[in-house]
Amino acid sequence: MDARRVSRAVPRVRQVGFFTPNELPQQPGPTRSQSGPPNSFSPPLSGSPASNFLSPVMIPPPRHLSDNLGGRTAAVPVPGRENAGEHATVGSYNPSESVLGLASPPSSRIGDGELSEGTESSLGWYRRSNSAKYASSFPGGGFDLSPVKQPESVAGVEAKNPLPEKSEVQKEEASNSKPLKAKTTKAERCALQESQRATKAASKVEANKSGTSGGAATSKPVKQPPQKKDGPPVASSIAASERIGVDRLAEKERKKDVPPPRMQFDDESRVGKAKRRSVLNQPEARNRVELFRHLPPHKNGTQLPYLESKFFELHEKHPAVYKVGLQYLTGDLSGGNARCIAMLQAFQEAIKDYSTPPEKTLIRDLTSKISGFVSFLIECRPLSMSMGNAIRFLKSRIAKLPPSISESEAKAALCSDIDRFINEKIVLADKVIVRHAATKIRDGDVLLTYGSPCVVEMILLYAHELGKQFRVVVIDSRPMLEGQKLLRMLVSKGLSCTYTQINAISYIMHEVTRVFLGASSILSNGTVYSRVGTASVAMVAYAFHVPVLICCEAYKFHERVQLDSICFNELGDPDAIAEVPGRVYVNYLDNLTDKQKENLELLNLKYDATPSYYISMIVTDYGTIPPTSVPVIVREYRKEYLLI
Amino acid sequence: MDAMAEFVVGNIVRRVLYIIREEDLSLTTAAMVGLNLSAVSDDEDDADRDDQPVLSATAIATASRNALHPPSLQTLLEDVPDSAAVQHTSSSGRDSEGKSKSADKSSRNRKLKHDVVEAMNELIQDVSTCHEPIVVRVEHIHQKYLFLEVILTFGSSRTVLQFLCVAKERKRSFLVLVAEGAPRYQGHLLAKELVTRGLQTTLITGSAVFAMISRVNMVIVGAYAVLANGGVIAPVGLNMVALAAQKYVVPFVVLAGSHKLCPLYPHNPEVLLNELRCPSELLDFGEFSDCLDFGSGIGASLLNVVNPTFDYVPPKLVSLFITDILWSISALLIQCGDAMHSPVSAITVSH
Repeated sequence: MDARRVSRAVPRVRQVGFFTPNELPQQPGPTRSQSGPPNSFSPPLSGSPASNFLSPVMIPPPRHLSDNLGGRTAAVPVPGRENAGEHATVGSYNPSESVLGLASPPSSRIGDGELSEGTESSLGWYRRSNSAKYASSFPGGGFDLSPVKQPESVAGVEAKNPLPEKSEVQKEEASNSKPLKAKTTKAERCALQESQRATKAASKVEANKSGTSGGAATSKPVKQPPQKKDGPPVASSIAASERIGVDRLAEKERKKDVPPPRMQFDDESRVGKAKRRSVLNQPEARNRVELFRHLPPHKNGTQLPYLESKFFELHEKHPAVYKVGLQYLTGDLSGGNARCIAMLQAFQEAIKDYSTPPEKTLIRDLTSKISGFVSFLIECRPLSMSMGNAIRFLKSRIAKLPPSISESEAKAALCSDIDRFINEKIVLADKVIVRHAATKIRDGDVLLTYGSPCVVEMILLYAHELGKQFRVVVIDSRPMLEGQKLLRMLVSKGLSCTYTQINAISYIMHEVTRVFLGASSILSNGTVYSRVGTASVAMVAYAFHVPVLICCEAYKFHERVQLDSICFNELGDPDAIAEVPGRVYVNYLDNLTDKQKENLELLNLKYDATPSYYISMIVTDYGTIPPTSVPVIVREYRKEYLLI
Repeated sequence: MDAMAEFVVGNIVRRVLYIIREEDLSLTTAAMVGLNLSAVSDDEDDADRDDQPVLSATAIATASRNALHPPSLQTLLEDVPDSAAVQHTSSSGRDSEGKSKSADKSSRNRKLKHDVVEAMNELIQDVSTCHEPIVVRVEHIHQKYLFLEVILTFGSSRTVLQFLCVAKERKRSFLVLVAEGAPRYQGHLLAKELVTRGLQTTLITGSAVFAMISRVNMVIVGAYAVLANGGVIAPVGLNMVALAAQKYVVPFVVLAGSHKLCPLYPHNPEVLLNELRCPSELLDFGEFSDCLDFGSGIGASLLNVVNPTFDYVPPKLVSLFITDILWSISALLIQCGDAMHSPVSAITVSH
């Protein structure tokens, strides 16, 4: 294989990302822009794309931090929805602007000519983020605020850098592979194909449900070796084994009757397998709490430069998916609805750019591809249950496609299905919930909310618009301090608010008349799985005889059951606990000796489970229900997904 | 730490007053005992009686009145002339007695002061070593309750720190879960101390307490003050922990030196026995300053930031108090508190 690669003397321009065979190499900005950035061999330059992604987060002064917190609210509010709709039509998920639109001034990888532009655009983004926070919550919204001339600068970049040094290996682009294949000797290729087909047949026997998924995996290396130039050869073989393992995991995910047991990370053999096939480096098991060894450790944003460098090695990842994954990793996107919408739109992009390889059927191949995306996203950050449900929906839609359908029709159908899912299950559901819940607010109420649930934010704003007189108490907690986003939102609209931390909840609960909480998911025994601290709030409210209302869309319901917060959870960044940003004199945990460090464990839980007896009522798009009715809805309305 | 002074200083002052009264009472009763003796030997040689303090009937009446209604400190310590007036109205022919009386009075005062200072030294000693009797109890607790267990604690308390260190010395294996007490982050301090002493510690946020409480075997906390009904004034957030512990039936143990027992009764404790701290601990300066501005035209700001220092834990949520004089449920503690502060009904409950 190496001999073949070396024989080529002239480096060729790579086609990057997805494209259909008919289109010219003159791609729209998005795909080409990915090749624009120079190779990752020079760390300082590769650091700059990282800073692009991290620039909303890593602005040191707290003033900017809070601005960006507002700028990247996870809420998907109704007033922002119009903007979202526009953005969806304009370029529903425009990676170019998202990648380069946030070019921070110091990172001048665009080149000196565009430096001023980049500076202006980024500053403009910041300024606009101050004023248009409600719109910027939508994942595409924040990025579309950057000036339109950005793609032109991108094109200018491409003109300057025609040579991508790193090889960009695509998926099954047959047209691309054909001219490359001609360069290899036919005999060698046939031999390779035979060996691949043998393994494919073997794997087919094993993986009965998704037989060709294994085949798709083995067929990939066929394409990869001819196309690879300088890229490490190791990656392809890893990718091959990765495919098989991943698809078996994917087929497990597809079992619909019983939710699969989660991967337990204290199982040595499986952890070893996962490590081998993972894209991200698993962080070292330092300071891992014994009780939570079964959960995947947190992957923090320090991996970002490494991931950027690996961008061009990731053959099967569509850049939109990759981008979303990185946003999850850094925490730019948080909140169930926002993550779900971003993921679905990335899948839409991927589907639009997808083309069926010659020997494959669209259904199976696309399903396997989606599974590959999902595994990558899981590596970046474990899926929320809402995302899991959305993925199940998508896969069921793909499976339901009639086999005789043409590719373009299939793609159009799937894209419209995704749009409909987003509209019905999220956008319209939110509107219904807001209407129902606003009837529960009376004049003179003091409403308490915790964290920053997007639905509750919408409810409060809507009730305020209706003219109801009420006060809001916003409870916040470390280390995420999400409540500040909500607080800024509400105060800017003129609601009178009280702000405090979760420790003071007993103090403030005397005045409160209603508690509105959001949820990441509601399980079949009525347990509410949501941000850590929600359980404490609900418990204290119950002790003070204050009714607790959970506002949650029905697509987040899940048939799993959970008794406590420990058997399934998500671990966050442990260092976020040790550091107290902005207040140097309380950083007691700096400068620990090693001996001290080995005794100290830091635990940063993301979620907790609130028992159902603390909940008075759940407001969903199917109406207001008691917690005991959740399994009914899961059972009855789950069929909807399949019958649409 | 400054906030502690609010309750404990008051307690100490009351203790000192009590000491003074008690000393005075003991001196008076001793004098009365002496008087009775001398009354018996009334017919004895007068000359002998010059050396002893001799009290007339009125003086006896005064003394007994003093025993029932404690005189003010002023009278005790400053030799106010009402007792001197008593002397003057006493029967005649007692000038020598009056002189000796005043001499006795001053010597009595000197003795009183001496006794009071001694007692106060003892008090100081008690308070500074209040940890020791408490941590002695560790042994009992461990034998009964702990083996490879998880203890939850909150904020930072020296008593709890010493308690856990002694437990470690006794070779009990346990894991400590420390909830950081935002916004003061005292939990970080405690965690640092604990790991320095080699204890296995996990630091969690205050919001994760309910999530973890199902795996906790015991909650051990310190208190700022223990009130007359057995309620506890504790760092903010502890009521949440206590409710969670009650839910999961986890023993909630409060360690407090006896100097923390207050005779106060909690009427509306969240407001009256609380202190609000600076909002900048929650929101940085300048972040929401446009909303916090009280000077704006409306007069009332849109945003109100609340940062209380203390939390009130009702007595029914506390399983056990461990103090340096006893460990008990709250009911007995009330009586003990009374004993320390009021001169009436000294009930001593010994362990």
